Amino acid sequence: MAIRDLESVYAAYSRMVYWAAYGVLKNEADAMDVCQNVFLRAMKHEKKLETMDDSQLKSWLYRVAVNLCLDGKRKAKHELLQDELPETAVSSSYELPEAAAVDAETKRLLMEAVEALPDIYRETVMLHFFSELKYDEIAALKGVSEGTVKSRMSRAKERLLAHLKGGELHG
Amino acid sequence: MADTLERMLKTVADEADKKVDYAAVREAILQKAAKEKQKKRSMIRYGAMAAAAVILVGTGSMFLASGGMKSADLAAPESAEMRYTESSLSSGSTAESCAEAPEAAPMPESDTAQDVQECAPMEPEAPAASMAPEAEEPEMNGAPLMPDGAAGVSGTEAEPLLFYSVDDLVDAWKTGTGPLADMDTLLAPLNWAEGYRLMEIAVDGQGISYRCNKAAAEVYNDEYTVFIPDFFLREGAEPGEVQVIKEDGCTLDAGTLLWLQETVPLG
Repeated sequence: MAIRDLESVYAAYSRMVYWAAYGVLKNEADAMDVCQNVFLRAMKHEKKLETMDDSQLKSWLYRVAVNLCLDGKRKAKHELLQDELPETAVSSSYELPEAAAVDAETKRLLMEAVEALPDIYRETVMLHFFSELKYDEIAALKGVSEGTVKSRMSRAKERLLAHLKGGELHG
Repeated sequence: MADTLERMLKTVADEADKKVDYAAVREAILQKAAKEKQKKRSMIRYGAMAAAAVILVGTGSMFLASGGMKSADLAAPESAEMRYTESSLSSGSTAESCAEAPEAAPMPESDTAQDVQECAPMEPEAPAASMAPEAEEPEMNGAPLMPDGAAGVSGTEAEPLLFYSVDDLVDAWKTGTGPLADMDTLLAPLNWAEGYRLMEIAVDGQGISYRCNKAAAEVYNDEYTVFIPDFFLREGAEPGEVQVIKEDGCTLDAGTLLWLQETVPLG
């Protein structure tokens, strides 16, 4: 993969790689570092990647990103396990505002809730909404059925709704 | 409710994604890739140098063992001959060019001899004075030796876009191709710091960066880059300020580097 080819690969997959990394690390700077390293590796393995189709390339990039994240976490030894979110004082009659009218506080709460989801749910939400992958693509990446992905997404949404309504996220 | 949540998630995701500076990440990737490429080339270069040195030592030993000394003894005084022999052994491939006229052009006995051999093709008619064996200081092209850590003015590192070995650069210039095709002269950064040698030249739109490396045995991690702004190349070689930038991006002390005393015509 020449530098010029990296441009197109980067344009197509940088978002997926970044948010896949962010989903694991929950840290912007670390996710950026991983994103850099993923594409540097892609440049090193240019011949290998030339033979791949789009889905294989996507899968390879995702796998490298996740592996780098896990390596980094292992090295840093600062695995953060957030089992509980801080309770938020939201009334039980809380109604979700329309997306266009979502205020900054609600966005912050929602992002916080996403980051606090258990790994398998957070990963699914990140890959679908942030990395913009479809359910079948997520299923292929994770090696599970599309039904499993939908099920995880459904449970993730339940937890997010519960959090936004002030309930416990992890019940 | 679920649809609303989906829309909210989408909104939050898009807004979060807009805050990500993908361009900066891309730049960082390209810079890292360029640095890695540079390191790789350096390693190849060192390997080639080591191989050349081994071959030269072997050849020199065979030459001496076969009695080549006898004719050389007849042709030149002992001291001059010894200088030639030592310099040819220490200056790598310089021996090939020096072998034709060893008495007339012995190379200085220093690490900077490597620089000389690398730039030798650029200066077929170098001043005889600087090549004289009697010269106490190994000056080349009027450029005095600069002490280790010679001063320069601080500045930001030019982003290398193209990388050339010395030979590639000279070839590109000679054939009229490459970024130096429209430049009249190439400044030869010889002998600017004792114990350092020119390893690589990087060219970009702002000028030329000459990367120097500590030539002491087995110490290859001590290097710095001298950046020559474009206007020096185009408007003549006035002694003046250049930017001295270490490999890690740290700048050295401010000052003036005075080795730019003479341009070296190519070809």
